[in-house]
Amino acid sequence: MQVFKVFMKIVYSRRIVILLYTGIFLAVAVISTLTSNNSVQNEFKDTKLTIGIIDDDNTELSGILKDYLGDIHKTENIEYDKDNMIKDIYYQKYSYIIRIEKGFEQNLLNGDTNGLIEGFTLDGSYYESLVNSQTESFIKYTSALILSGNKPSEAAKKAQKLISEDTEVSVYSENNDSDNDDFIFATYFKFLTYILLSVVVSSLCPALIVLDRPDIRARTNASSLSVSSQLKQKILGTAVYSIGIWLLFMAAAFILYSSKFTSSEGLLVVLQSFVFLLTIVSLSMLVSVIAKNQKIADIVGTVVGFGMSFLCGVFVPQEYLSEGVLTAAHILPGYWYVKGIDQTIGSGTKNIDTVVICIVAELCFAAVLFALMLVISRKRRRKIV
Amino acid sequence: MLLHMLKYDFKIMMKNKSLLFWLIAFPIILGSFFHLAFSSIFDTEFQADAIPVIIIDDEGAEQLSDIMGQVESDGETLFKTEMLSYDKAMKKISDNDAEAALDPKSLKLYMSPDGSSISQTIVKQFIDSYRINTSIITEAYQKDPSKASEVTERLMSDISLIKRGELTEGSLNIFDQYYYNLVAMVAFYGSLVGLSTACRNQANLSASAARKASSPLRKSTAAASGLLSAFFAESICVVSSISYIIFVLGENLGKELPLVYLGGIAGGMTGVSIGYFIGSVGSLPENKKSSIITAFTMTCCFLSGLMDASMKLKIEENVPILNHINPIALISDMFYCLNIYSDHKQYLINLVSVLAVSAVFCALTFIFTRRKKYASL
Repeated sequence: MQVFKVFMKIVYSRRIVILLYTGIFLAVAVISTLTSNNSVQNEFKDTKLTIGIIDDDNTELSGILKDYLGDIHKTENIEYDKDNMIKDIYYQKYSYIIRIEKGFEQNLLNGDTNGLIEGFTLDGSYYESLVNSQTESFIKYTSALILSGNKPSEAAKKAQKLISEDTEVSVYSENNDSDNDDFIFATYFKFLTYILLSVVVSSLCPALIVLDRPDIRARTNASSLSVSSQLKQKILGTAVYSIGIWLLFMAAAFILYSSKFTSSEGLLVVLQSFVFLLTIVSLSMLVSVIAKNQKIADIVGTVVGFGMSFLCGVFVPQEYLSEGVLTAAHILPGYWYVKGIDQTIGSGTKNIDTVVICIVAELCFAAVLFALMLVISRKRRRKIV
Repeated sequence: MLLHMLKYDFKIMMKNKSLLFWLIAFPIILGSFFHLAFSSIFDTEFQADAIPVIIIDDEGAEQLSDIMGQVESDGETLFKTEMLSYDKAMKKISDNDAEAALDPKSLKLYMSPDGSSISQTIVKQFIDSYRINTSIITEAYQKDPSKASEVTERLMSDISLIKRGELTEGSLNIFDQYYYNLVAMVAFYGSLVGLSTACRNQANLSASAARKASSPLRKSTAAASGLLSAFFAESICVVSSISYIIFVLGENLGKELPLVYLGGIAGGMTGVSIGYFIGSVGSLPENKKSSIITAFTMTCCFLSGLMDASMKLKIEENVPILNHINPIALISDMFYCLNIYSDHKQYLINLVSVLAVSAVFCALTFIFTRRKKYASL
């Protein structure tokens, strides 16, 4: 088992990279599990924004308006400071900042409702539509109730009571019962795209490149070890290492999300991750044949890893990607893997037929990459001979 | 002699393919990925398009559809309505082809499970208004019918209570932050150029430096030529990255182009001088020093918001000093200032800060390397 031992020695020399990627990934997974909040909804909740309020009027009506906004959003009283306001909106600390101008109450009681508040947010955003509509509706109800004979404070209270009598809302779904645990579980497996690619390519390629170096291969061929035995040991090394890494991540997933992991959907996701591992292993073998040295393999691994993660819906959900990007992503295995997970356990509508198509597509990618590796490797050997 | 050395130092650098990849090709590739992935997020997440709403074909559907079709926000139609049977409506919202479906009789809303929370809140807000208006008008008729028409008029009137305030002429798109940090990363990767140059001048780290040390070449000339060629090579990398982001990807790095380039080049000089300093002190081999620099750069990039754009604000609120000493944050802040502020005060403060850091590290390098002698090589 000389070849197998050397293979493992080379892989072991990359232990720092493996530990770094695995450690960071698992730490992020643990933190996101502990600090998760509801990202997938089963019941409708009004969107609550964080709003900064500058009250230059300081009157009863401005106070009532602030209380109303405080009830439906998270509000903070702030001072007028242009630079800080720009920073707060830019970095999304506040979705919206409103400044209640001096004379707000007086103008409102006189029936003048134009431009009494200044609003600062991203131009043309949904935040602007939502907060403007809520504020203007509240002021309209209050002033209409004042007109019909109520005192200002009484009118405001009545308006608030009317608003609190909610419209009946239900979230409709034919076959979608995702909850937050599903969302985190799906996210974990989607991010495996990047981590598995980085860990497997960065460690498998050096071992395969070294063992395939012409001088080393010639020396091994001159030994009593048969070519088929060398190949078997290389395949064994590749399988032991890649399945070992995969099992490590599966064990972590089992510990973190045991109930989801053992469910039928969970096991289907695990199966998909295994099929995706086959694609990555084929890709690593192809890279090791094409790349002349480890530096080039690292470059290819980094570019493919980032590329698949950005374009296939790992770092940015597929629903946010443009049509063009999604169409182009069809030629990448990561797209089918992420789509398969979404269709199995993610937020999308579930469809088992699509999951099967995704698995078959990933297997096809693995087969094509493997065949390509064999063709290139055979051509190269002929050249050397 | 200086020009001669300069020429060869520059040639050596331009032949280092691995360095060129990380400094020119990698930022271009990463920038392109950012562009492809983020270009539609800002529009999808923040910018208001007409919200698709289905009205279930029942009594009052047409009237409600007309009313909703007339609602405008910022001069644009707010809702895109369609009338469908109950089953078809439910299929559409289940497939996320519409945000919500509305039963016109009971005013009950059915929301799509995958819809945008804010769009659905806007739909609900509109239905709330419709319901409350009806309730207030009914109450007014019951209380004092003479005032009812005035109340109705008030409720139906278009008011513009909130006027839009302008804070800046620049773009408030937070995704620009990723490009600022990308350029800052390229600039700071100049430390790798500085490091490799310094190691070529360290007689205990490279054979050619040992040969150089035994020649009559003055140390200051070797150091100056190394630094100048590194500055020049790094400037080429920064300028090409900035040009690609602005002219090919069409992204926004600030309003005044010459100042954008100046900021990037100054950042690159800081990177080079820090790398040159690290390469000139201590006896660790180049690959170990390079790992230290890469780890340091990536940590600074993370703290400055390359991986999460809101990170800089979190740091500003909790450990503000970090933003003032993090070189990547200082460099990326220059582009932020150029984009947001109409005056150049903050930009100039940052520019002077990064140039001062650069000067300090250059001075330290000269102090540490002068009169350095080796007992044995």
